[in-house]
Amino acid sequence: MTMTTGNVEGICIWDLPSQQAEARAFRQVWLRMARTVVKQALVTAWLRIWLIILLGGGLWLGLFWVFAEGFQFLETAIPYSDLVEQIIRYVFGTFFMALMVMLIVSAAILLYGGLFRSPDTLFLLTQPVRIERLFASRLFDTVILSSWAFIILSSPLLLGFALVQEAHVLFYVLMVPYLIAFVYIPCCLGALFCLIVAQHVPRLKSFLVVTAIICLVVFAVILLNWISWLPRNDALTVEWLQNMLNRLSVTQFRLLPSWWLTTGLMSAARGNIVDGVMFLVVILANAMGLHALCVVVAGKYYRTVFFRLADSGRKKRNAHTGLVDHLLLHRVPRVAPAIRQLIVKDIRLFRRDPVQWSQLLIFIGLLIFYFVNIRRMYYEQFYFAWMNLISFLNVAVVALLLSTFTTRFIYPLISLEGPRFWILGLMPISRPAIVWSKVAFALCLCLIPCCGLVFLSDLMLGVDALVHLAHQATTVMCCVGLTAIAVGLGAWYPNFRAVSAARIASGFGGTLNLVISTAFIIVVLGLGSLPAHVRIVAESPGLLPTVTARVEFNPLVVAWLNYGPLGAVVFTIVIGGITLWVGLQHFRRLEF
Amino acid sequence: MIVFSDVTKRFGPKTAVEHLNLSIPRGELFAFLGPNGAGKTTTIRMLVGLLRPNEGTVAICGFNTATQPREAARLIGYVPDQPYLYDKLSGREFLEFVGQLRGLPLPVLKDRIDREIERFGMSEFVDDLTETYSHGMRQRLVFASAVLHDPSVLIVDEPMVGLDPKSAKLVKDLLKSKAAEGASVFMSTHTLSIAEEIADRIGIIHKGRLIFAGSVEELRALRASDHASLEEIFLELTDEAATELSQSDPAWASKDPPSHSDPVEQPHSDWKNSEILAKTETKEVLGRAVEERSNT
Repeated sequence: MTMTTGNVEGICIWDLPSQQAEARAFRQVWLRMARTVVKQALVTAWLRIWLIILLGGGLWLGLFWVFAEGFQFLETAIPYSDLVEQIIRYVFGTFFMALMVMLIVSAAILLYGGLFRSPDTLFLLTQPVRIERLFASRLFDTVILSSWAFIILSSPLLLGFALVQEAHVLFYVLMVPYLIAFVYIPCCLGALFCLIVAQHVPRLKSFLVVTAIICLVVFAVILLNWISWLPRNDALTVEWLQNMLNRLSVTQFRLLPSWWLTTGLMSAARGNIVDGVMFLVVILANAMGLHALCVVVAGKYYRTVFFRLADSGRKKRNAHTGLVDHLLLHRVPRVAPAIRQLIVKDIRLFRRDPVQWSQLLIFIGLLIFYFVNIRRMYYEQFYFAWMNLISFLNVAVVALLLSTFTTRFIYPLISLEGPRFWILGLMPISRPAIVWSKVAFALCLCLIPCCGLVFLSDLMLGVDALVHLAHQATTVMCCVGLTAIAVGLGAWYPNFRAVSAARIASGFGGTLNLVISTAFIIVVLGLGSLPAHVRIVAESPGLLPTVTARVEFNPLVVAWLNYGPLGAVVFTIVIGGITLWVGLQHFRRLEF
Repeated sequence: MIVFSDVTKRFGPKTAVEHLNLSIPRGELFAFLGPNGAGKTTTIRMLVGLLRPNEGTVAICGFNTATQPREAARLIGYVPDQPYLYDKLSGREFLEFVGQLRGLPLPVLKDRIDREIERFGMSEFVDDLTETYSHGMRQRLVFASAVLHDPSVLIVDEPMVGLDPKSAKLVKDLLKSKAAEGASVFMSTHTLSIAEEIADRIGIIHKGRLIFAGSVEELRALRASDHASLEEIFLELTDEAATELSQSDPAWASKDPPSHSDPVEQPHSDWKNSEILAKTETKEVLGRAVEERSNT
């Protein structure tokens, strides 16, 4: 039996495990938990798994097809193989550099949560665990989380390239090792960034931090504008191409890991074994070196940073009453005060929990950025009718974004009442009123941003008044229908035990909500918006090169064009009504 | 043994624990009492190495918990108020993990796990995933993991919350037996009757300052009437301490009670809150105050 005596006389303590034994213990626990998660998912979440496989597979195939077509276009449109290779090198360089920057930021955020905010870490800090081991396990988790997304995003591009270029077998052998080794580098850089930020940011005044973030955003916008700005007359000319490549020349800096990855993989595709293997070794060596550096830095500074963050404590937050709260509480007629209180309560919880609104804000911000810059693409030079198509796709994007929002945040609303549900249950409010309050709250949140986004898109594209009208009506129907579906299913499948909205949304009910919402969007768009676009194209000969005369449709299509929007309204009422009714019935009978 | 030497902990401008001097020798069961937000959890978090004191040192058997956390942690068994368990592990797998981290050789570990399963009556559920456990089952598992390596120091934060009478009896017996075996047991609790029943010595912390440290008998001696319950004495002590403090510094009266995440503001820097002081000056001050109140 291994025992040793500590510094204090008479105290018997066990020898702490060796580095290898400690690593083995962590590995064993990780594997056991992973196995349990997989087993549970296979038994209880089969719908979600099939959905992920189907949707993910579909998305992957779609991306693969787009990339393969793109590479094929380059092959056929440009007769100079050197230029094609140069373009591909720039495409790869830009793609991987952009992903590397994103990975650095996401790794830093993930590690910050894992190292300083996770209850698991607090538990391990009370055990005699080496800090280096704790840090390495968190870094490993981050690499695993980052690499699957990275591989899924990169593989269609790389395989599309390999297929078109008829790559050497070495490319296929080395591709995954290259990607995994590469992803380690931004994760390590993110880890170092995380430690530096955690060390210094709590001491900086908040206005300095906010100013720095604003400066970064402004810089990013200017940079993107500069890269994407093109003189109107030069589009798709040799000068335009040279100009574009010059602007992206930063991606060809030879000390960038993205350049090593690009060069190594392109060498492997050509069958150049020496370069193909050498650049993999370069990436591996850098990844291992950075890993070692991170572990040493963490071993030296992690506890100091942890203590500094713990010392900063939490600021008191005053519960301000917002203008919206005041208006809802005192200026909304014909709504029972208790219902108003319920709606205001939900709004306050939403407003005071940045996790809920920050993701939505990021998506809306990205969409606004895209819509505002949509005219830069000069589609009107080629096919004016594409405007209609793009505006229609933009409505679809907004609706799909809305469906993810309702699945992630609206569907769990009733479940999140959880342990507090007895408060509502004992109040003199009928159960249906609780459900209706959730519908009203969700509509308040969804209508204005969605309609605003669609209006902005249509405005920037300069679509017809008819299309404006059809899009706005479709958006309203989507808001109403998706809200009703999310609240109805939320009342149908409440999960009062879960405390995390993400966990509730990822359950069976949440997955079902996403499927029904997607199907609903397809039908409503097909009935509500598409007829307006078809009508415009059909009644405007010359708008599309293939449509040179006024089109005459058969009676069935004419009926669709005339009565489709009415059908969309009826469909929204029926689907939303049925889901809400079923949810209400179930919720009325619910015992808690 | 546990030694707090002139420990002060601040969170920004707020002071959560001030000039704490306290030592708990081997074989003693020490109960740490105080109202909500008094600084109990902050003290415990310094003891287990999750917080670093701004001034002074906390030592476990001579190892500084801030500068030698690993050496200190190997001697500690810790049961937090809100224990963390890995949801996707079974109770047995969790115990194996903790035992491996503490370096227990495999045959010893298996024996120890069987011993704790037997002691805490966990055989029916120890192979189920911990995500399915009730509060009492979780608490039993955490206790088992904390004593798996026979720690020299056992630190327990609110041990009785949510336990049924049988489990509570089990925990009380365990704490007493650990102290009898020579371990220092540091127990934070709100349940005065438990402290009265099993503690060798109690300490009362109020607004970050140790206002009393001694035996239950010494605490009772503060009151003229022997019929007062420990609860009444505790309430009077904390009430009078607050009054005394607010008279010496009016800013005290307006202080909010602190919480773990929101520690109390304490502007006093000259308050000598040592264990010795707690036994002499503080006792005198509080004794006078209680006496005056009884007279009026």
